[in-house]
Amino acid sequence: MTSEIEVMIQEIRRRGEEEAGRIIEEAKAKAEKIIEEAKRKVDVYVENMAKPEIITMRRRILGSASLEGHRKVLMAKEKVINAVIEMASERLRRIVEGEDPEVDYREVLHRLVLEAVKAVGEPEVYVYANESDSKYIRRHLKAISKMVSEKLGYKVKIRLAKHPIDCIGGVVVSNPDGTKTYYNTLDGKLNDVIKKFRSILGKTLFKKVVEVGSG
Amino acid sequence: MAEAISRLVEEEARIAAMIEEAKKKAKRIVEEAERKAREILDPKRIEEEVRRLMEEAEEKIKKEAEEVRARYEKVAERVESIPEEELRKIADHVVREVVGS
Repeated sequence: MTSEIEVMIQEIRRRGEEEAGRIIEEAKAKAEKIIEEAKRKVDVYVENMAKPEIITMRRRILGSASLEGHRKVLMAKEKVINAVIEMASERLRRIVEGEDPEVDYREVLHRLVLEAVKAVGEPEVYVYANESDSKYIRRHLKAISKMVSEKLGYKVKIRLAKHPIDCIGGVVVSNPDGTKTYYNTLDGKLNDVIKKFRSILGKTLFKKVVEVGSG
Repeated sequence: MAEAISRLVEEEARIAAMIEEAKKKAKRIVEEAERKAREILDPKRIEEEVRRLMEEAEEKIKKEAEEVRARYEKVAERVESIPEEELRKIADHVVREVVGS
């Protein structure tokens, strides 16, 4: 009988310990769940609060860096274009001064006068040129008038304006009342060609340079 | 026999006390977890966490921005380093267009 009670005691002890262990384990599981839930909530709060701010910050900082970088590249391109303009202007000055063996400026000037007179399309015109070209035109006014008249097929009276204009070379031609004017200076032509070349440079030279860099 | 029964009763009482103690401990465990959860959910702590995340993100984005700047800088350098000879060729081409020869 004593041993039976002993067995009962052992059984009560075992069940009791099991029950106590279960209570603690359940409490631990519940505690873990409570903390996990709190952490999940915090993650959601933080995500909702920080994410839009980070997106805005990213857009602001990277946008500003790109803009700044883009501006630097544009400035570099502008510098290159200005160098080309300077080289071209320099060579045009040499041509005008007759120092370029490849180009006969007198021929160029004659053609510029002809183009401008043709564009104005009147029998009497005023020609404006820089000081040195004005001197040349004055000396060869008859010959130039004759050449223009012959080329256009009607008599044109060319008068030289009293005051020279400031330009590298070429002419500006107006009718007597100044209602029609055609600008055919080398400076103007240079600007036109450079405008055209800007897009060509962008599509060829600069594109090549940029592509080499990104490859 | 009486002694054995008495031991049985004693054991039952001891086990009942042990379970009671386990329940108390379980309650403390849950209460501690709830306290920690409140701490975790404290708005100040969340604010601090958001600030920390923002700072981390800002640092990362600033590094990215530096890389972006450096990439553009390299492009600008390459543009500026186009050989003079190449530019002169373009200038000569421009001049030919201007004088029409």
